[in-house]
Amino acid sequence: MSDVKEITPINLMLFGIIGGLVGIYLSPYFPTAGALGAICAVIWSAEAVRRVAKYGLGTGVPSIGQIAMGMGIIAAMFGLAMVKSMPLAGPILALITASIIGFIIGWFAQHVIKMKIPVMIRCMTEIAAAGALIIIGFSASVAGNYDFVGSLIPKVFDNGVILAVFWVGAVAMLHPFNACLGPDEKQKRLLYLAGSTGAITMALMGIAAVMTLGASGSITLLLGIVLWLIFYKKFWDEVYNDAAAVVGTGLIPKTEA
Amino acid sequence: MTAIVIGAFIAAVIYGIFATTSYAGRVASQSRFKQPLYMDIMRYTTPSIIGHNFIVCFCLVAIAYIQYAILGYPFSIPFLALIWGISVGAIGSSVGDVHYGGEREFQNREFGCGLNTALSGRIVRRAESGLRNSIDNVWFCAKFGGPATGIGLGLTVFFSSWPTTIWGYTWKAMVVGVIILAVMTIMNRLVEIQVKNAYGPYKEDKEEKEAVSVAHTH
Amino acid sequence: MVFLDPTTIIDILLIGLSGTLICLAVHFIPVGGAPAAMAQATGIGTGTVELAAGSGLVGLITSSYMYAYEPSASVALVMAAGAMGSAIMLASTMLAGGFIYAYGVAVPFASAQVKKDPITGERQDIYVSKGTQGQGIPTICFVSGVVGAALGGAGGGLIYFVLMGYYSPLITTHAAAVAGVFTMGVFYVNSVIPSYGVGGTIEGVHDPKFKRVVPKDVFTSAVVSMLCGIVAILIAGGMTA
Repeated sequence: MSDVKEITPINLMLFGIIGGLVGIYLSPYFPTAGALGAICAVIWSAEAVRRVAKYGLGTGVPSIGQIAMGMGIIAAMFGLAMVKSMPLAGPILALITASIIGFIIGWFAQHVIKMKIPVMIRCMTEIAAAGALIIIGFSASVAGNYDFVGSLIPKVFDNGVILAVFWVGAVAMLHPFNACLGPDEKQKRLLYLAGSTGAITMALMGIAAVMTLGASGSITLLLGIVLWLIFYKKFWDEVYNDAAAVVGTGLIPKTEA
Repeated sequence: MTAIVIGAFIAAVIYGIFATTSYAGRVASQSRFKQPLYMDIMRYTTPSIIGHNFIVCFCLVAIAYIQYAILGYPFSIPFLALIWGISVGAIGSSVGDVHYGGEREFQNREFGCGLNTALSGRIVRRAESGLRNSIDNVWFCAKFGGPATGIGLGLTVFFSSWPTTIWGYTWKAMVVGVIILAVMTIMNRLVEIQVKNAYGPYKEDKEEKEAVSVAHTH
Repeated sequence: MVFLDPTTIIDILLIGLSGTLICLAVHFIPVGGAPAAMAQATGIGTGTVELAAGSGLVGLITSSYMYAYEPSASVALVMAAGAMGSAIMLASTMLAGGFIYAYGVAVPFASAQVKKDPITGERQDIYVSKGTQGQGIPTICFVSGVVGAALGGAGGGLIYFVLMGYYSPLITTHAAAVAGVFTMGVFYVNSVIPSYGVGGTIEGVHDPKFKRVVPKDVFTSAVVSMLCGIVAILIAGGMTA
């Protein structure tokens, strides 16, 4: 399928985990970093969704984004709530919990439900972990830090921003592969699109952050819009490159009939 | 109220962006079939997608606002709006979409029966006059599927809160809910009988006479 | 954070049970996916996850409303409120979908999986048009869907009820949001797992697939939901400031 060189999954995984965690840990000092970290995780998860959804899930690509966020949110709440004495361990604990839940669901999907997808377990684990990082990252950029009881509950859960994180995050994760599905799907285009969807989510979080954090939220908003423009432009460049032809209007070429 | 309008507008624009990328992405991913990427579809449909999405978002947020501020539901507005959004997505894709897929989306199908799997993908490109394109197909769909989706969502929103509003939070309200469900089941049954008589059985069967008499006794 | 406390164990089991109810619900709802949308298969023409989540979350709204206004409401009443909300959502959807199938697409309702409708006793196979797997939503599918949605809504109401019992003493006013979000997470996990199990389409209780896939899906869901239950109760431990 792919004769062009692709970024290996392991590199993207490292990019997602390290980028995500660094972003989240910087968020108390600079809230925008949380959203940037989450974008790294979005790019990673889009690649993971791509690998597993290529096999055909039988229920459409969106289902995997939804289960990812379902697992991610449970793990994120658990990880952040559990570590009162050592708040620094929260995101890592959430990551580990998400991986465990993802591994268990992947194992069951593979061996009990018998889905016969060789990469199922690994991808489910990756997707769940990325889901947790996306949720924590975007929430932290809105709340200003990742303290669960102190700031996340009043600033993110209570006013319902978490739902936007949940759903727009899920769309950011599943949309790239859903949109690029096809026999000539290319990783590069997909990753640019993932960056673009992640940046849209970041801009939305920026709007929410303006309300919760004031001026520092506007940085998230502006940076999100700028990043989105960059990634969107890159995506269109790839489309112009890859599409058979780009025309204003006209008939379908005769060769197809 | 201004906030609802602004929020709905932002959501609609973002939806429009997703719509452009999914069209471009899919076409680019199928370049081996040599189908060109039509920019006029992008220019023609994206504004109307944004417009329709604005209406949907505005109405859903308005429902959520009424439920939160006036009826006093415990969840916040985004939560309620999200749930109604998921519901309307489910209803829309199961009600409004059906005609789109089954009737005319380029498929060669006889009236009064399901789409034969063997004919699936047999594309109809020429219409009564000129080329048949997706805009013609959507026309009837929007005229019939849209209102039917609205009926579905309206029934849901209305009947899911009506019994408890009238009869309070008691078992009596639950019984009323069960009665509503029974009425809906009977309506579906009436539609089923009417449609079966209208389009008739497809296969001649030895037992057919007996089966018909069984159906009549019920 | 006492694990061996009997109430805690019962609550974990209750969350496991509600996840299992949601999983079971997905099997009852007649979903045909894309083939149904093209009038090639029986059922509602959309994805299992969307329908299960859509109906179940409407049930969550009604049950949370019940919980908020009748704090003394018994768990059965909260579950019944959820069941009613979900079932009404799915019934309206199926009714409106039925109108489209009947008067827009113009297909007779028929199931290809059974010869006679178990409820009305009407012949099905002669109404299945050539080259399809049935069309529309026959009575058995309708009833099965209503029952399924009711199970899902009851499951959602039960999780919400259990979690509110844990969270509201700790974080009084924020409890609804946290419990609601957690319920939604559990909902999505438990509606996707059985969707994978049924492979995207199922007609309802009468489908032979039902018997084949229910045991393994229910087992998976029960294990995963109990894990979620343990996590939920540990979160409550983390809230005690």
